Amino acid sequence: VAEDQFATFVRLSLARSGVETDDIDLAVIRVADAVYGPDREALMSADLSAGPVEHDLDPSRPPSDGRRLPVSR
Amino acid sequence: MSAPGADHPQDLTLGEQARAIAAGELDATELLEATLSRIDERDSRLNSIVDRFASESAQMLSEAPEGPLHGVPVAVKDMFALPWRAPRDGSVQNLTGVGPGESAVYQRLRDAGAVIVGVTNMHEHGAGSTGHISAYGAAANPWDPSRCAGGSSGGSAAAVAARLVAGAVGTDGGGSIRYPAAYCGVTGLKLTWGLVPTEGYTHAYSSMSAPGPITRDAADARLLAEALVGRPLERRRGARLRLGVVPAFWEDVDPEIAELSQAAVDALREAGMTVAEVQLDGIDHIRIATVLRLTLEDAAAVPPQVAKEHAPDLSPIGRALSKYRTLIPAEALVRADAVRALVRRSLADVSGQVDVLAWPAVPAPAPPIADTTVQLPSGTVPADYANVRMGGLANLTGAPALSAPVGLTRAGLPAGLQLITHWRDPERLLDVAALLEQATDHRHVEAAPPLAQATAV
Repeated sequence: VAEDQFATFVRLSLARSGVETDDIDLAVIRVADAVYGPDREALMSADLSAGPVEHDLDPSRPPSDGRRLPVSR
Repeated sequence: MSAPGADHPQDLTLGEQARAIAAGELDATELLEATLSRIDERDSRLNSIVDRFASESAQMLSEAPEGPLHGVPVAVKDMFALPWRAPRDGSVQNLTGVGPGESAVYQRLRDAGAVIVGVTNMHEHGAGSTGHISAYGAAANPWDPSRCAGGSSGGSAAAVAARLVAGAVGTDGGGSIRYPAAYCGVTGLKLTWGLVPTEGYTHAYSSMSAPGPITRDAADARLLAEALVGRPLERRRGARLRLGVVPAFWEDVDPEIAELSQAAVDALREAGMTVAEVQLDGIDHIRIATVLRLTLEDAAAVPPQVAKEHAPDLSPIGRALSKYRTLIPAEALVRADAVRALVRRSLADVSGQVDVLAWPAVPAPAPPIADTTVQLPSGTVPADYANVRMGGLANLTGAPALSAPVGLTRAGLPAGLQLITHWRDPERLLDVAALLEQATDHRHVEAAPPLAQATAV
């Protein structure tokens, strides 16, 4: 039943954007979601509110406000 | 004119070729011809170089200035515009509208006197660590052509390992220089983000990706990196540096890979480096944060109409994944960026305790092209999933990172030790890699795959 719900979710969600889904798409997406889904869910349920905020992120250099560690809760 | 100390001039390193040409001991025109011949002889089993252009290469040579790479052949990944060729990103065409022209990488190589002899194979649109999906066909590993060369810069690493060229340029948005370098037993350096200008680069939009050299050893990586960044990279004594080991990145690693990597750390300790355990924050989410950032930046960079028109050109897997990423909730990307801020802050903090961090570049040897899963202590997983956990930190942070060869498994497949350091000091990675080579009598960087030994001219 869960797999059918997943397939329906994928097909309907993509259809909203006018994108068709074939069986190959569905098979690949199902595998990708099985592999990466748990990590994504863990990220979605993590409390990241105490972490640092970087509004001026520049990947060419370290964070602009020095070496301060985030405050742990 | 024959090359001193080698049966074939492409058995010389990049630096040896440059010095031999400068000394008048090696004729650059003969070197170019010998290089093209060697590609013809050896690459049919590898598919590492997907385009050659002898007349344009000869033209580059005829106009080459007296730079540090004067007359030296190099190859570039299929992501950079050349005056005579638009990059294809390992696909039918690139989707970001980059046409023929003088990319910054082309300009830097030209100004250093280098001669571009070929374009290297890559994973389709850079979206994989195996290199087995490409419009040109899979790139094979010179150590075992039934196995992956790696991705996405697999062709560059395979070409260097097979001694087709002594140096090639790759790019690294999620480990794409370091994984193939490790799989193929060569040295791969991801430069600090932003050090090389992005003109004519198909992923110029990326906040994760940086180009860098793939060569046999650290000295050649320094030479090619200096050409790319346009300035000298200072040499210092690696033995005075402090090495940090992050225990979490040594977990769930193939035992042989862990053993080879640990032996390299031990060699660095014996060579004079101090080694200490350090901790990084946010490690649990590095993998998914890297994947989210990479895939969603890629999606946003392609105009919707272009994506729709060219969907039929993609591989079935690439096409499906391009649809999958549209289902990812926006909140996930915001959370990925929170992880990014966390790991950037943590890396900056750790850099006050140690100079260089080390862990295996890949957690398992190159998988078969026919089955791109890898076996880890925790079970069998896709290579991409396993690899990005090891490589993502350098891309999320923007910091430079390197993979150095550290030996072969019992099955004869290479392993690599990853080194990562502070944003301002890519030189440190080369210093430590050179120290490792010295401490191991250069045996890992001088090891040649059977394919390169069997057909030596």
